[in-house]
Amino acid sequence: MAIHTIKLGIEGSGVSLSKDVSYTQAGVNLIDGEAVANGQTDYEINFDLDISACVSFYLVSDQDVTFETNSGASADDTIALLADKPYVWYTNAYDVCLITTDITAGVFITNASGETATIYCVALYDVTPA
Amino acid sequence: MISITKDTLRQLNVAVGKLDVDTGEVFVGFVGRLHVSDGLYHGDLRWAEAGEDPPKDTVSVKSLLAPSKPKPPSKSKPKPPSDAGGDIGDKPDGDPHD
Repeated sequence: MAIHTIKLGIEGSGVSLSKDVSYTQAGVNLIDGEAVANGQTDYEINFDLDISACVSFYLVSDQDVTFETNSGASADDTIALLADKPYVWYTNAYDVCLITTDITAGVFITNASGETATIYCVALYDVTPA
Repeated sequence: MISITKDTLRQLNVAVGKLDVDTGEVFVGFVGRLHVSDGLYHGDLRWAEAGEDPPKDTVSVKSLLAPSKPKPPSKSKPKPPSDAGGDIGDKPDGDPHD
């Protein structure tokens, strides 16, 4: 089993709070620091995810990139990732997940940031969903 | 700041490193990001001085950015109804107001 902890906090105006949101599951899918050169359009990365079984999802890039699922030409879901601003979702999150369709055919990165982007995606999922 | 589609971005990426015939400089690329609100990539184009040994491959970045022009409206006169008879421009035989 893997334990993934998402750290959520706030610092400012005299407030200092940090909360951990942890989940334990056996299924883990990773994009582990994939480098995507500037000027790449629809750079494919092998990654799949049954979104209905996902319990936590963390996606970050150190440059502005476009993250698309299943197709670069006709993506099921598209996230315009901003540099160093992670997209985070977890079970019981207050917002619906931006990934709405199972990822079965990889993800596609378009990088026009001017710099090489490094992508991390960490998904934790239930391998035996009900 | 310009706004382009992903298809245009793809073409611009292919043009990187080529001599832009419009500017006389080497095209370096497009730098920007996707705006989900309109589905377009917003950003800027970059060039660099060609130097003493410019690349032989050339490109017209301007033409890559040119939107496909819609066909101009037809200047021909509208055709008369098919039951009007006669060719366009022909005067009807006999004017009832004469």
